[in-house]
Amino acid sequence: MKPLLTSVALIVGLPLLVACSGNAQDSSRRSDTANGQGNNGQGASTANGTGASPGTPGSGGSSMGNGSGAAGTGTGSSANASGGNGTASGALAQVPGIRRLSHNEYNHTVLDMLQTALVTRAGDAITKGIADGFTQDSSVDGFDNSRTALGVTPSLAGQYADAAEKLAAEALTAGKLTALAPCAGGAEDVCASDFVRTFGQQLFRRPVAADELARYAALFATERARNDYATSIRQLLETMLQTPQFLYRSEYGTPALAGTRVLTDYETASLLSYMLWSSPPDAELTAAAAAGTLATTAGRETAARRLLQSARARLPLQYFVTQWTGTSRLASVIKDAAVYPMFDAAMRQSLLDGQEAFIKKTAWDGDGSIATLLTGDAGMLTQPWLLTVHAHPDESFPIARGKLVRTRLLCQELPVPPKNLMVVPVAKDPNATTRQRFTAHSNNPACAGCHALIDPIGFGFERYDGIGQYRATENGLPVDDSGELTATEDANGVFRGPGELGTKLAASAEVQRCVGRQAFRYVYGYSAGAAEIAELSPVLADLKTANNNIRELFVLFAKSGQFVTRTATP
Amino acid sequence: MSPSRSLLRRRELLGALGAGAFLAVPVFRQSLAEAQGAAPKRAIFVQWPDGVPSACFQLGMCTVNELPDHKYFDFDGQLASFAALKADTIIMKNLRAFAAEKNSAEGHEAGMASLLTGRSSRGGTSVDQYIAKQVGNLTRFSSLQFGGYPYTFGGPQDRISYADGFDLAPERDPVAMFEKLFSGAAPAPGGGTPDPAIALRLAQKKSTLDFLKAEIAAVQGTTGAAEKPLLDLHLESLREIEKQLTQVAGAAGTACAPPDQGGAVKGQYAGSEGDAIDVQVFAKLQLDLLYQAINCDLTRIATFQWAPSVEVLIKYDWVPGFSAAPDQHHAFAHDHESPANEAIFQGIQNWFTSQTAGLVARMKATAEGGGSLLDNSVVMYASEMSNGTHVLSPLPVLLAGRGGGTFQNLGTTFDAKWAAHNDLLLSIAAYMGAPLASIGDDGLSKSPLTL
Repeated sequence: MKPLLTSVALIVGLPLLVACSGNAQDSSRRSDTANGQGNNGQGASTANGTGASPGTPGSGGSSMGNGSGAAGTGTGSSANASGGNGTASGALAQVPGIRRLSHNEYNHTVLDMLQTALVTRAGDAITKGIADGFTQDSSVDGFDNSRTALGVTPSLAGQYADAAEKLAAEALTAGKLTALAPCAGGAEDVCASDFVRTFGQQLFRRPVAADELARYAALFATERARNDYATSIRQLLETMLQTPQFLYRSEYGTPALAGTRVLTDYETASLLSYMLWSSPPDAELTAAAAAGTLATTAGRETAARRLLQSARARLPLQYFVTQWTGTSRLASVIKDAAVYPMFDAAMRQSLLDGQEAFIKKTAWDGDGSIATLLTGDAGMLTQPWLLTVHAHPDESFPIARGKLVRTRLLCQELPVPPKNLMVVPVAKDPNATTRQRFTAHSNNPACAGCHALIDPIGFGFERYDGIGQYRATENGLPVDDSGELTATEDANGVFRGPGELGTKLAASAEVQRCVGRQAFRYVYGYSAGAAEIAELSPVLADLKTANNNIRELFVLFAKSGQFVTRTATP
Repeated sequence: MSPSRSLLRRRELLGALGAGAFLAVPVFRQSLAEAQGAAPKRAIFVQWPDGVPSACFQLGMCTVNELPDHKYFDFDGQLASFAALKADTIIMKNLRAFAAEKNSAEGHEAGMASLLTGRSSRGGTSVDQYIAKQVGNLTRFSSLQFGGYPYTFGGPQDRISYADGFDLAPERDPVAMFEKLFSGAAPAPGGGTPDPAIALRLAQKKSTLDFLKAEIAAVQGTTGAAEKPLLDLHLESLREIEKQLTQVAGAAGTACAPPDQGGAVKGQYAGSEGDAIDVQVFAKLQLDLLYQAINCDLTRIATFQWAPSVEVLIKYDWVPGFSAAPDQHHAFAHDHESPANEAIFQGIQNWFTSQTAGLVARMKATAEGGGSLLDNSVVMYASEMSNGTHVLSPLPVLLAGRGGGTFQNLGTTFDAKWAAHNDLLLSIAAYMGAPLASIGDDGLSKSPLTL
């Protein structure tokens, strides 16, 4: 991101106070761009890359995206995958080609594959999942699916083992064994192999390779020597649920032209499916992968449109919008009961319901345009669920709202307060409005430079308190909700209230570009670098043609050459 | 979207503790090494958020180059709870948070990222994990990470432990930690006949782990450099799980009973769920589990993180003035303009300290060899910043424990002469038998401090 007004950044004494670190749970790592992978600790860059060739179908090692089946067609498509529709053709940067399932994806995945009762859902939403108790992942740039930050730590490995034990025991209770691994009168080793082949294709999201089948056959033999058939099958499932082939989804690809790799069709199917369903591919998508149709732009478009037609895409769309807007933590936000005694469980639930309903109405049922999100139903920026998150436990905190617009809607980077200098708070005053207090605070010349970027936006939200309730007066004084946008490319000017602010932002090309970058972050699990941002231009041009419909944005991603092309790693 | 896992599952805790649903691991405090004559060494890193209240802020006297003298960080002030332990402690003075100062992130994030890593950017490997790599194989758990804070947070202001760039989240579920520590299909030490069902289950788990390690290796062989950090971490984690399956503490020594399943731990927890959670009871439970893990020699390396560097959720209603004041910890951390708010901030910081002092006192009261558990330990009680207003240096640190008799400055203040705190990390690593030539950013660490 380009620093905003670098000269301002040099001014010392920026008293963002509590805001200097944003809202508590929005304190994500600032970047996980390819060049700045937070997780490449010492030694990571010296890793040797021997054996980078992919497994030959049916023979070689079990590379993550083992290309048995349609790998050949995938490879062949690399040149023309980027041809159609003027979409971007660049390869994604050198980032890990395996992506550990986020806890959310894990819940969806085991529910889908095992129909487990350990994940419960109401409607199309997961209400409780076996992964909820897993070691918390770091959010990065507000998203829970960083491909660099999500690893398997010792704690998580233990939790995966416990979960696998429970899931396998549940899946293979006496009644279910005959459905999943029937073996009436057959040779048990053949039955076990059939189980691994059929169930493994689901779990690994691709056909199981011959060498893998052989390894599982050996494992089965070991277990069967000391257990009965049912227990041995359960052991196979428990093991499969902990393998890297299950826990990571592969985007490793196979070698293609000029230092690039191209995804196999099965990998492409997974990327499509996790992008739009947070779940593994269904039978139809898997069949498309097997038939090789996902290697083409048209094939991916068809598949993406089908997935988007399904109700299963609504929730993932909501995940994107809430993570993009920093409101995914609404369920755990805490308010000060002394200031907001009415904020109870019922109110939280009503906010959550309102969040879901708003996104459903605008992004899902509606035209899905950025403009509708910002202006429909008075606009996203006036919604209590958004305002409650972007506030403090005990006050409206205009700085958080100004920061929301700068960083999440405009993708501008704000300088941080300098260190080794006092950053002092805005004192409470029962005889002044929040705006008056913060204005006086920011009048300090040392603070004014940076706050001029933030406060005039945040002040425009002042008719909404810390839980998003409308107020015409505060402490008996009238609330001034005039605001001003500055330092934008195409949205500068004064406004009154967040509704008008939304209208100004709705037509901004800068906002549209930012939404594209946020979607990139969601789809690929890392933040776009300069080259990738440049490659987004054709996608964004097509997005404009498509009325800036964010549902269409995901189709455009799927169609792009970038979607299936990766930079080869040594 | 997974909901917050912050809610303490009281019923589950009581259920787990009461039902005897898991297999108690007989644990022994003394290790094989100890039996052979070498006392086990432990390092515990306790972080509290937002540093030390200091009168200079009230007086407006703190400047960048004239840093606070931390008059309040003494046995008359914030360290009053440690007064009775003075002979077992060293107060660090003039320790520079150099790495955090260099970090381009804001102060809270910078402080947390550097506290145990000595790095000016997030990631790398923290000192506890460097030590764990060297000596973690001696115990069932190479290291443990505890949280004293019962809510979800996430992000850079909420992590202090790092292994090869991956952050290790603190465990914030006493039920889960209890189960992890004191359950599992481990064989009885000392040659007793294991339960055949347990032995079979253990064999199955080992067979799965062997299989998984081979699968990781297979994937390693067909992927490249970009995937290697993820796969290396995963492989290390599997090895750690395998060790936990097979290794209980040493073969000889004094039996150490896990917390009474139906009694003490359960009785202490009278909390509720969600917003009504009893933070004091939660913290006491977590500290107790940390003590038990050390005392039973389940691990020798632990971190305990009192709270994220930006803490806005806990209701410190037991601190005088807190419930009547319209602010939260983070606001108080920044606020040194009103003596009343300063007093509340002091009250909160003193609470962290008093609870930590309780842990240290308990270690001192636990006999080991001819002395105490504390004698063979070092507890680094430190904050990520000098003061919550984003002042980073000097880093406030209290060392407790006698370092196996190697510390020469016990009962006094040690002047680090503005050395980067990286040097202190080197000292602790060296004490633990895991000496490092350097830690953190190039050039920041010179040599271990002679404590």
